[in-house]
Amino acid sequence: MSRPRPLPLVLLGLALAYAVLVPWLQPLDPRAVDLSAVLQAPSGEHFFGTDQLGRDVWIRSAQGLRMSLLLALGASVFSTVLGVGVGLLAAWRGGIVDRIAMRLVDTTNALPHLLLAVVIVALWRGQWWAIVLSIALTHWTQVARIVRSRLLAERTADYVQLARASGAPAAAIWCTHLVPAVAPQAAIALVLQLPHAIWHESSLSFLGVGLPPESASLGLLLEDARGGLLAGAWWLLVFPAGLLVLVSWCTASIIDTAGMSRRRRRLSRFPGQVPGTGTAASAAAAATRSAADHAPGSPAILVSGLDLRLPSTTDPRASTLVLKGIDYRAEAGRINVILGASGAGKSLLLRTLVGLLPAGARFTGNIALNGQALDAAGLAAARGTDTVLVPGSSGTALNPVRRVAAQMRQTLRVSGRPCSRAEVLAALGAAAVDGALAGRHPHELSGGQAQRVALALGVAVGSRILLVDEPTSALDVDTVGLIETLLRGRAAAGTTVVMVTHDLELARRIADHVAVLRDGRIVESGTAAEVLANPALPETGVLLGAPA
Amino acid sequence: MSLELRDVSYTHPGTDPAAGRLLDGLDLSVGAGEVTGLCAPSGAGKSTLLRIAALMVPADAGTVRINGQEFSRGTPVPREVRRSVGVVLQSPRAAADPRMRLDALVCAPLAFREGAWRPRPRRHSGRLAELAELAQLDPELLHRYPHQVSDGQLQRAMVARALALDPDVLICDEPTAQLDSENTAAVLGMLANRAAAGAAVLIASHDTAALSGVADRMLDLAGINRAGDRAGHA
Repeated sequence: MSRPRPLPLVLLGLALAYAVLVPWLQPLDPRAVDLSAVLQAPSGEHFFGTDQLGRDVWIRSAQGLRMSLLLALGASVFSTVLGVGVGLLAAWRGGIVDRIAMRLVDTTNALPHLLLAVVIVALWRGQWWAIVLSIALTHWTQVARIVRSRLLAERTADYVQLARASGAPAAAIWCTHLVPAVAPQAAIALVLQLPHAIWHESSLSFLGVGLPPESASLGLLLEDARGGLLAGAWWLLVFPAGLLVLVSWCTASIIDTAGMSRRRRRLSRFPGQVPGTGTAASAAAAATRSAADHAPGSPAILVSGLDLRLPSTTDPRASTLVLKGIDYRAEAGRINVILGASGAGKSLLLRTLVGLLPAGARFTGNIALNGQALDAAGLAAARGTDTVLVPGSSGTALNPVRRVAAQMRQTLRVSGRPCSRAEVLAALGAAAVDGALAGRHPHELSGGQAQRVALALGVAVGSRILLVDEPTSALDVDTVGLIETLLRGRAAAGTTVVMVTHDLELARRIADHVAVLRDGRIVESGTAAEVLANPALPETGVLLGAPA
Repeated sequence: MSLELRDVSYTHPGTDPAAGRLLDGLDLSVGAGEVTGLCAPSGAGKSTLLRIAALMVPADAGTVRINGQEFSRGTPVPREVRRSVGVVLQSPRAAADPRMRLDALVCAPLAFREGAWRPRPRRHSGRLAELAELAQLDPELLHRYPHQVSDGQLQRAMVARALALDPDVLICDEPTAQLDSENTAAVLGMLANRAAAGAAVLIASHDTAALSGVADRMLDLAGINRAGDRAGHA
């Protein structure tokens, strides 16, 4: 989890301290006119100079900033509450309520915001709550839209349906699943509104329809500066405007970093992390046979001494060693199978090879693809050209809003291949995807169909190394046969296939080489015949013999 | 304690019923204490059938009878009936809320039964420990979020969740698709034990070999679905 950059936080903190402390420590009556000190340039006595009525701009700016921030905060909170309320209501009631709410959103968006705000403020001249109201009433629509669409998506999610199917009352589903899904969005929306609301308030005051002229807000100060500028009093404009820009920039960059870390967290959802338990390191190392003696060609993937650490879930400073001293080679143009129990680290090994590690994960050791040593960035760069990973949970790997054919067309185009309708269908057909499925969206596919589509997409890239994670977990026997034929064909055409599976029968049928992973260690590797027929370690035997 | 489907038909919304019904005139019954295995090629409508049986999706026509209570399209389903049905879905990634820890996920049905709005893992720590033991889950794993465990570990947690309320009817869609042979045996064992305690258990899987070890009988969807002949591999 990345922390926000320190500079905007520090600057915003200083600005807030200035806005709160200065008016409190140095109270200044806005009506206290000192005509002996009119339009003085910044000095040791008046840091920001004085205005046309001799008032200290340093104190006035602090008062203005405080007022602007308070009004903007009020407006942001109010518009977020309003937006969340309308969004919730629309998604919850649906039907006619939803339609009315959404038309209301459209209508509000169609009106010029500033004009509407001016009308509201003009009705209640000089009232602070009228300004808050005018900003809130014109800016709740985006929040309502975000909340509504997020809720509509969440409501059809499997976990919500599962909760409903297990007899959860509506209130429980809202509190357990829906509100936690929407709350971060609403929080981000609130903060996003803040800089905008500051500007909006300033515009209103600058136009002279905001607060009464004797009170201080950044907009009013800027309005005052208009007159002063003609007299050469640049400080009247520079300091309030600088504060306005500074505060907006700080909030915007804090939001940006927060948004980035959220995105990164979402990307880091990955399967596979094992508790560091096994201690049979030396035994495992001794039992690992050297595959090099039997190697017919040069290895397409050569991994040596790979350690992978993932950040601990409880202690942010600690980390867990999940892959331990992996030495692995995948023979070019062969089918290399990695076997292992659930949670052994199989998927993590594949993810390491394509540079798709979760946030905070670090690996040490050497990885070479096709004879070229690569670091994490190099592995990531090779993904999509030299390597392709077909992930295990294929259902969630497909783009939910695009049809199967469109996804395949894009894949073919990006890899520089012809992408006519016939080519698309042929590429799908290679992974036993029926032409009738081409026009469907991923949610209209069954689990097995989605898995085949994901495999077809992976194969279509035409990379030299194809990594597949459990490609047959949701398939019936006949379809598994078709997938086997596909993978064999790829290997015969020179592609290096690395397949993770727990299906021992499948491994027996198609593997050329087998490695067995247990608790993050390769405990056995060699040709398929050797390892499967004659396991060296008792634990491998248990793993291999379990279905019998 | 039984599950019975009578004359169930279903067409995917938005498709023309004449062109391709997914399920047509389907009868199926699972008695108390019985494990029924359901196999069908990918795309034949297994998952849809199971969602209809679990009362998650209403059938276009036909009835679902659970413990003698009959439900057809539009019949409201009392919560007590829903609580007597345990469901395991195909993809544990989609079935687990990514924002909840495993302990909260597993004990959620317990909390919901008590009328709580949020899962309360501490309150149910005893039952949680039992369920973790049953699912052979390291208790340490329960403190993790779904993205921090493997597919197999997550699926075992979801099976534990389905068993939390000691359901009379247990409906499982490919519960072992993500598991290795060791875990497959463990999960199927958990489901079979529930049947031995008197539940009606319906399991769909393509892994007929593993399934036939625990199932009292195996059903082929094509054999009971009249739509099968026309729709083919839709």
